[in-house]
Amino acid sequence: MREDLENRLRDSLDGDAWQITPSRDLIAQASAQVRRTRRRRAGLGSVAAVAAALVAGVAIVKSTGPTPDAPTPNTSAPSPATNEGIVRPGDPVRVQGTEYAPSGRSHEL
Amino acid sequence: MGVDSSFEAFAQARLGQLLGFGYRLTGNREAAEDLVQEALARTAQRWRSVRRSDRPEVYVQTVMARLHIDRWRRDRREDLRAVLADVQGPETDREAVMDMRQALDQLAPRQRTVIILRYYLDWTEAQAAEAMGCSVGTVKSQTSDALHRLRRLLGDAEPQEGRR
Repeated sequence: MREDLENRLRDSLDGDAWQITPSRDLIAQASAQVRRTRRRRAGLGSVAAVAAALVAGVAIVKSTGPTPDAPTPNTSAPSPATNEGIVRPGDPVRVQGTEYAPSGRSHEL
Repeated sequence: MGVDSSFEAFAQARLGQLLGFGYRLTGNREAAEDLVQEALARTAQRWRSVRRSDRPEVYVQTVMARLHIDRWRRDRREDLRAVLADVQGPETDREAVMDMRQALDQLAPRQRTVIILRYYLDWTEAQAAEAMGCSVGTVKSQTSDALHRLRRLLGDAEPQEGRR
């Protein structure tokens, strides 16, 4: 009985009813898909290379410190009258119009 | 960067075979085309290593089997009567084919895949297991479950030697 079913399966799967002709150029579309993927990967590779160069640049600057010709950073204390520039624990921090609360949440101003 | 011309020659030579395999896997022309296109694209990306094998089409068929199991949905059914209208042969043969195709449509993707690999491609259990990314034991149990389901759907009696 099992043999019979298996034979019928083979007969059914070998039939001409399974032969189809493609409605589009599958090979050309697959090739185009590959080219798109390669371009995307190449683009991501460039971004990664730029990021790596930036990181490397920062690392070099940190390791060598400012160049002799660079202006001396202003290390003077903030004005005691206004306390401007002092950020204490708990103070909100503003970055490009967005206030970041100490809790980590932010809200637009 | 273009796609290797030897890949295009291979794909052209095997397209009909791959489409037939995809159609048997999915039971749907459009899904079969999508499956073949995706598998060819993936094969092209690894063509340098795939082309060195004796039968690169086995790699494509393996990709197709896994894609079908992983994410191909079976919700795009065809009107089998329209499909089989072109089939030559006696009415009884056409009805038998239609019955079997409708029964195959009721199988889960993994069960259908194992049936196609074993009874269409005539792959061994080990080859099917490798293609499906599972153990030989799983192939055996999936085959057994699929045959059991088909037997019920087709109204066949259970075999004498019996299984669950």
